[in-house]
Parts: sequence; structure tokens; C-alpha cells
Amino acid sequence: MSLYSDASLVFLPRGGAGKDGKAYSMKPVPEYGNELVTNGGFDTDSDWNITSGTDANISNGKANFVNAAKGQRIQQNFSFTANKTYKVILEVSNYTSGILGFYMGGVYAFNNVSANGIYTYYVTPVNTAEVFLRAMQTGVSHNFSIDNVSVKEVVTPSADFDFSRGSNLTATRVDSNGLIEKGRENLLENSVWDGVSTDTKPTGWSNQFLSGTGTFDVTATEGQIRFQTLDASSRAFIYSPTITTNGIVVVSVYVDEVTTAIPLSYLLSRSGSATFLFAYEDGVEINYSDNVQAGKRYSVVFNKTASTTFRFGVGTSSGTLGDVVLSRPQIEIGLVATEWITSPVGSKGFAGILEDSPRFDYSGGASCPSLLLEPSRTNILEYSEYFEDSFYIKDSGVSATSNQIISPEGLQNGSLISVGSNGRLYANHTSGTYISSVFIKEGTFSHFKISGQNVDLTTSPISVGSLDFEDYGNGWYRIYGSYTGNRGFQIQAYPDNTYSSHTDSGNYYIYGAVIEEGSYPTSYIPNHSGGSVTRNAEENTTANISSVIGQQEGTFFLDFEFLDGATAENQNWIALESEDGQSRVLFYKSAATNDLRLLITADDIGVFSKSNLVAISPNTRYKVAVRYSSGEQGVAANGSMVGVNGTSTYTRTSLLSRVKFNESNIQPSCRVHQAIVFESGLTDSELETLTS
Amino acid sequence: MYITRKYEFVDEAEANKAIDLLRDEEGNLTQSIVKLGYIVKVAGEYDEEGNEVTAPVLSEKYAVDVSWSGEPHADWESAIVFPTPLGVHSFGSSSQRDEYAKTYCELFPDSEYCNPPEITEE
Repeated sequence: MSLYSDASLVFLPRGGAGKDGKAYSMKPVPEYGNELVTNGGFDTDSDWNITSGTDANISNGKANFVNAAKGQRIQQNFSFTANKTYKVILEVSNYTSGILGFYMGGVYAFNNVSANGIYTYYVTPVNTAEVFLRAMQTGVSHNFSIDNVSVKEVVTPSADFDFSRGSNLTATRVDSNGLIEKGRENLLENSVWDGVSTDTKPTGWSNQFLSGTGTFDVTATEGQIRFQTLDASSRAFIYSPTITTNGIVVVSVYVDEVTTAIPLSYLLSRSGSATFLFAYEDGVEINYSDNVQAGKRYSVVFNKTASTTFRFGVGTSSGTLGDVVLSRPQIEIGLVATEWITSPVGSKGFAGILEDSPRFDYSGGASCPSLLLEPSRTNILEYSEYFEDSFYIKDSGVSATSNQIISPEGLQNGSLISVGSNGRLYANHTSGTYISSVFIKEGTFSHFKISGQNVDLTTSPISVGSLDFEDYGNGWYRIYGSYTGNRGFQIQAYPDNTYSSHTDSGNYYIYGAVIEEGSYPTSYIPNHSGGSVTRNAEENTTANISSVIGQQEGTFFLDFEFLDGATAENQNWIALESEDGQSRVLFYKSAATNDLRLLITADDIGVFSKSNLVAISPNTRYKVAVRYSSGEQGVAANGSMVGVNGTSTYTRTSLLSRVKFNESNIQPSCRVHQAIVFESGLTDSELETLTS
Repeated sequence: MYITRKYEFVDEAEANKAIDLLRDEEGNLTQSIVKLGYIVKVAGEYDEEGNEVTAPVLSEKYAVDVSWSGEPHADWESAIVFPTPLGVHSFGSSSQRDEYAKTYCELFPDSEYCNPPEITEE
């Protein structure tokens, strides 16, 4: 028998299935009833009624609100049942103003749509009265179109997790290649250069400048612009939208053709408040004043301190003559250019970790991912990858050079630290108690004092004193430990394990420094700014799925790791629960000790509680399963029954309706490998098998 | 949709009173809050051992940043401030940074932040 086939809900991150705002469950497979809407595609002007106003129509295959006031409706009556759940889908286009709502049986499925897009909502009507689309905003003309309206009964609900974090630029994971993946963005709107015609700048770009014979135009290849001057005193430039993001940024562009000797500094420049740092040709450092060549990608790193526009084109006051064809511009935070990201008109481009995408993490060389769930943390170290900045203080003989080695990110953005003695590289910060971490790789030196502890990278495993470490492969280690004071980042390098003062020359590599409050290091938090940055905690829950959760009997299985080494925070509550919290099947860590506990309640009455299910340690995988059936509760941990209770009976009216990995707003601090729900109570033997 | 807003209070006690408004029935916070404290206006000086030689000059106000998931709490409105984006701290969110910068420039359209200088030749 396969226990999995009997499960009503199966969440396995190994599928890596998710998108921005969703983590998909493998079971149940959702099922829906018949289509209830007639003519949802508005192919004809029939089946719908224009009510409560006359500023709407059906034409051109859409329902259209045209300068409609609040209250305007487009209505259709069809049969549905109160207190059942329905899935509503529709598409909004041609949006310019107002707010759209969808009303069904006494409640709004939504009342806040204010942009083009395809929308999916679930609604549970409370009566069987009317259904309508409605203009919602007071004192505003509503102008938009609606198409492809669909309403179907939810026979079997989806148990996908709604997922939110609200952080992309400070959220990272270890991907399936063992490399750190970040959230990336192309700060340039319209990086495909839509809207360009002869001497007309791309849509949304801020300006253009032409003088003399200077001109620009599209080419036969989409996304390219040809800039041209016929004499040495002319110019042809376009100017980016204003880039407000400050800190370390990389501006890059592909030079597809060039027929003139034009320095990179003329082809790609910027307004003030952006200090030039480095220039690269296909990743190889060059002088900013070097001439560009065809078939190359050029990137320039700046430290921005205020809003800036960037300029692309040909011609200078000192004179150039000829053509240059450019494409794929990008502006991104960081020290090196990454893969080009398409951005449409009116929007930046995004890639990698998105604001609300679940992080399926492969840390520690895992072959299968786990869902990484972390609390909010702030990296107070400025410029966490740019150690040349004066924020990092170098004793005499110590220097930092950026972008000298492939980092744990798989990019050439690791820094070389050269020393001529045991001088320090350090940073001062606000005094406090922190976890400090940094990635380090040996160069000619392999011995270090990090936060005062002797670190030897030549032993196996490496020796780190009272600190701890994680192996990131390719010679990189993340060294971390707790620190109290105002200098949590400090490294000294030595030629041998005597750690004696010396005047020898040597080097090593570092990347990604973090100082965060807490008891353990969370995933790397990049910071390319001159301030501190925060990654928000992850929140997640399923929709109402009470129909696939057993109420009077059932089983909840959890396969997870605990991340927190402290005993007094992050209780890490993971639960089956009711919307009102009156009913719970809850696993949680004691606030006082590192033991895992179980609590079962029905309608706010305790049914069964059990402490010391297992003593839990950070970064260790545990499997626990509870049978919560009335009159027959039992719980197993790691293959053995650890508690039974055959006396407590209950009748639950506050229905278990969702799975949540951060119950009661407790910030999560764990990795989830599996979460499975059965509608029946498994036997003791089955619980032991499941948790083995 | 999250939005960033920045606040200043007389002291930490006042900040904590406001923060307590954002707790659920079980006392857990419902919003992402970063207590920046008394922001350093002028950095301190330290000797080679890290001992303070010159104390940093701190703001007289206690600063708190909030990443609101939804509308900001009305009772926080009186403490709101709008330093130049993104100040000494930011949430690592593209949309929050953009929204804050847009709001700032609507409030202070003539500010230097919202009016980048002309491009200069290298």
C-alpha cells in the first residue's frame, strides 16, 4: 500500500513547483463543476443586462465600462447554491481608470481590481441572489473592458499555498546547481526599446539629444537601435528613465555593430551623483576610455548616491564619426552584469527570486529541495560585496580588489584581499549582539583570525574555533558565529597556523558579508546600498480546504528541519487549523526548551497535548505524524510512537480548514520537506512507517 | 502589496506603544517592523581595538521602519516622516522601493533626488 496514494493533501517541495505568490501542492487535484456563465466571452450582445446606469456596453467581443460612474453594473442571473465555493475568472483589458468589483450571492468575490490582467478569485455566496460586475469607486469615471468571464463550482479545492514575503532583492536561495540565486531586476523600463522610430526615443525613456548630422533609428532586428553621425561634431543619444535606486549598480549594453572609434565612456555615460568604479568588455576589465568593438557586451559599474539618468549613443564634443548599433541595455544593482532581463514599456524587468516566490532551497548539497521559511532579518553591513568601499577599514598593507574570482553565486564577483602583514580588514557598526557571517576562500593564505577566532582552511574538515561553517563548494566556506560589540566583521590573514604577527605578503578571497540580529545565520542577504536592508518573513497558508481535511478523524504528517539554535524565540508553529483558530492540530517548539510539542484542540477545547515528542536541534530533519481522531489520538516521531491518548472524544464544529507554516503570525524558521494530510486516522504501525 | 513607511518617535517607549497596536490577540506582530533606533548622524571614532574615542552623534528621535501589508495603521500617521529615499534602511523589495520613491517625489517634486543633474562628459 502506498500511504501517499491515500493522502488527501500532499505538499512536496521536490517538485519545485511554485510561482510568484504560490507554492503548489501535488494533491488534491482540483475539480470544478460546469460553466455557469453564458456568453462569458461576450461574443454577442445577449445574456447580460446593463443595469444601474447606461455607461456600459457589449461590443467588439468585450463588456465595456465607458466613463461609468460608481454603481454601473453588467449583470447575468444564473443558478448557484449558497455556502458552496465558486471559482471566478475574468480578464480585464483597456484599463485606464476606476475599480472593478464582482458580486455574487450577497458577497463580493473581489472589489479592488484596478489594472489589466487575468484574475482568479474564489467566492462563497451567502444567498442565491444576483450576480454582477460593478464599477466601485466614488467620484471616478470607470474605463475598462472585461472578457472571458467564467464561474464554476469548486468540487474539489486546490490546496496550493498562497505565499508572500514582499522581498526579492534581499532574498536568496541555493539553487539546484549549488549556487546562490538572488532576486534580480533590470531597473530600466522598456529595455526592448519599443516605440523607437527615426529620431524618436523609446517609449518611457526620458530624453534624446541630437546635434548636427546625428540621428538614430531602429534596424531590421527587433530591439536594436542604430546611432549615426556623419561628421565629427555631431551627436545622437537617448537618455534612460530616471534611475532612483542608489548604491552599487551595473549598466550594460551589447554593441552589435560599430564603424567608428568610440570610447565606452562616450557610448555609455550618466548624469552626476554616480561615481565610476569599473568597466568590463565581456567580463574582462578594461579602461572606461577604451574604444568599443562589435559583438561585445560592455558593462560599467557605478556607485550611485542620487537619482541618475544614463545615456546611450554616439558622438562627443571631441568628435566621433560613424555608426554604432546597440541592444539589450540593462541597469541592475550589484558588481557584475548578469543575464539580460527583458522589461516592457512602463515596467522594470524581474528575474530570479521574485517578491513573493517560494524559495525551494538546495543548501548543503541536497538533491531534493526543501521549502525555506525564514524570519525577517536585517543586514546592517553596508556594501556586502564591495569591500573596496571606505566602510571597510583596511590596516596598512591591506587592500581589496573587486570581481577577481567566481563567487558562491557563480559570478565573477568575489573580492581579492591582498595583505602584506597580519593587518585587519574590518568594519565598525552599531554595537549589539549579532550573528556575523562571511564567505571566504583561500588564496596564498589559508589561515585567518575571524572575529578573533583561529580559522584554518587546510584541515578536513576546516577548523574554525568557536565559530561554525557551511561548505559552499569550490573552496568557498561561509564562516559564522555570534558576536557582541561594534566590530562583528574583522579578518586577519596568516601564512601558517601559528597565527603570529608577520610581514609576509599573501592573499585570499571573500564574498557576501552579513551582520544580522538573531541566534543563527539565515540565508545570505545581499546589500549593495550604503544603509541596511531587510528581508521580510515568509507567510503562507492554503485557502479554505476543509473538504479535504478530516474533521473528526484524520492524520497530519510533517517532515521538516528546524533552523533556530536558540530556545527562547521562533516557536515555529506549523498547523492544521480553523480560520478562527478554535480548532488546531499544531506542532510547535517550546519557547523554553528545544523540544517539539503537539497540541490538538477542537472548538477551543484541549483534546490532546504532548511535550517532548523529540528533542530538536537545528538543521536536523525530523518526521512527525499525528492521528487526531476523536477518541483515538496518537503521535509518532522518527519511526516510533511517542504518545497515545484513547480517552478524548470531541465533535468539531469549527472546521479545520487550512495548513499554515507560520500559524498565529509566528515568524517561520524551518525547512519543509513534506506536509501530508489524510482524511482518516492511520494506525500506529502506519504512523511509524510514515515517519521512518 | 506591501508599502514602506518611515516613522520617528520621541523615544523607544513611544515607539513600542505604537508597535503594540500592531499585535494580534496572541501578542504576535502582524507587520514587518525594523527598529532603527536613534540614527547615527555623525559616525563615531574608534581606536584600533574598537574602543570608542569619539561618540557618534545620534538623532534625537527614535526611528522605526514598517513594511505594511495593506493600509498603514491610522494611529501611526502622526509619526510619519519622509527622508530622502531610501535613507539609512530599506526593505529589499523592488515594488516597495519604487512606491516610496514615487510618493517622495510627489511630496517633494523639486527635491534634488527627483531631479537628476545633467549628464557630463568623461
